[in-house]
Amino acid sequence: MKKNLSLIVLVAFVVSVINVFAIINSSNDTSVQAIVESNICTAQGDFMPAPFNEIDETIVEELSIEKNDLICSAQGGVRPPPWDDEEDYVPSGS
Amino acid sequence: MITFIQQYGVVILHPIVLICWFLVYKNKSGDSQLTNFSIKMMMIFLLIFIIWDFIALLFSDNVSLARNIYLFFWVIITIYEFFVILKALFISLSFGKSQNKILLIILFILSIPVILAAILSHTKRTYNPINTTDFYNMILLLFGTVLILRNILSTGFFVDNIESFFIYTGFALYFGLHILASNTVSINFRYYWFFAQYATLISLIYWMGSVFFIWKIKSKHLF
Repeated sequence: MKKNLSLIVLVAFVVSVINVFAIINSSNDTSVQAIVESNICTAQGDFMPAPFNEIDETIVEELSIEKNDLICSAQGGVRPPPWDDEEDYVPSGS
Repeated sequence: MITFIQQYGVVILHPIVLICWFLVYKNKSGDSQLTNFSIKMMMIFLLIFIIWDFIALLFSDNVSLARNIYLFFWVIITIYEFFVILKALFISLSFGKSQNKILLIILFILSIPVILAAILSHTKRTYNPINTTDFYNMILLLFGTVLILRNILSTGFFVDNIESFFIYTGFALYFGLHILASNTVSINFRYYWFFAQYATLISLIYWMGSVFFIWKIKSKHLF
């Protein structure tokens, strides 16, 4: 019983510590994508809260489509790299 | 129709599911300690959501206040979910009441990141902290739920725990689908919220449907 209890306390503590670091990192992320994503709440709840900042809708649309087009979501264990580097492009026939 | 389901589907389903589980609560007899606790906690869980929805609808015109109401209830429901899963885990592992102090300490440890995330979201005007912590919390809650289900299935009194089984499989569905909705590696982040709403909708339909199966399995007249 003590073993089970210690394990529960340990898991709760470790996850909380990881959680705190992840929260602080995510709140300090200043990349364009992080700022755009920070406007959209994905936590639980029935009514979506209003966004905090006014962000140009075209940037959101572009980022969303860009992410959608470049990232492979088909089955497989290791995700292949995205098709965003021009140096990857090999013209047909060469 | 799709817009209506997206906006009000879960709001309408919460009281319906609460009524269904109240009927189960009224007709229960000779159930285990875990089942008695789980049904009560399930009804309070639904009640918190109903109050949350009611207040959110009432102050939907005031954007700033609506945001703070969201953050406040998000903290309440997350800590409540931790309490329910932890207490159910303690009951299913046959821990005595003497362990209640340890339960409170664990609950306190788990509440720190939740409260911190809500404060940071409010002060830094970003949803990233609560999105991040919701993701980690859901993993932890799913893990706890799976352990409870394991304990229910390993005991020899499955029929006594049938309500608990359906409540926690519903929670496993709810937490599992919300992990998909709140994770940061999925594509098309713009639609995560709607994915989360459908996750809630699916779980509520499951909980509602499970009342029928409980009635059929236990052969009790609920209606």
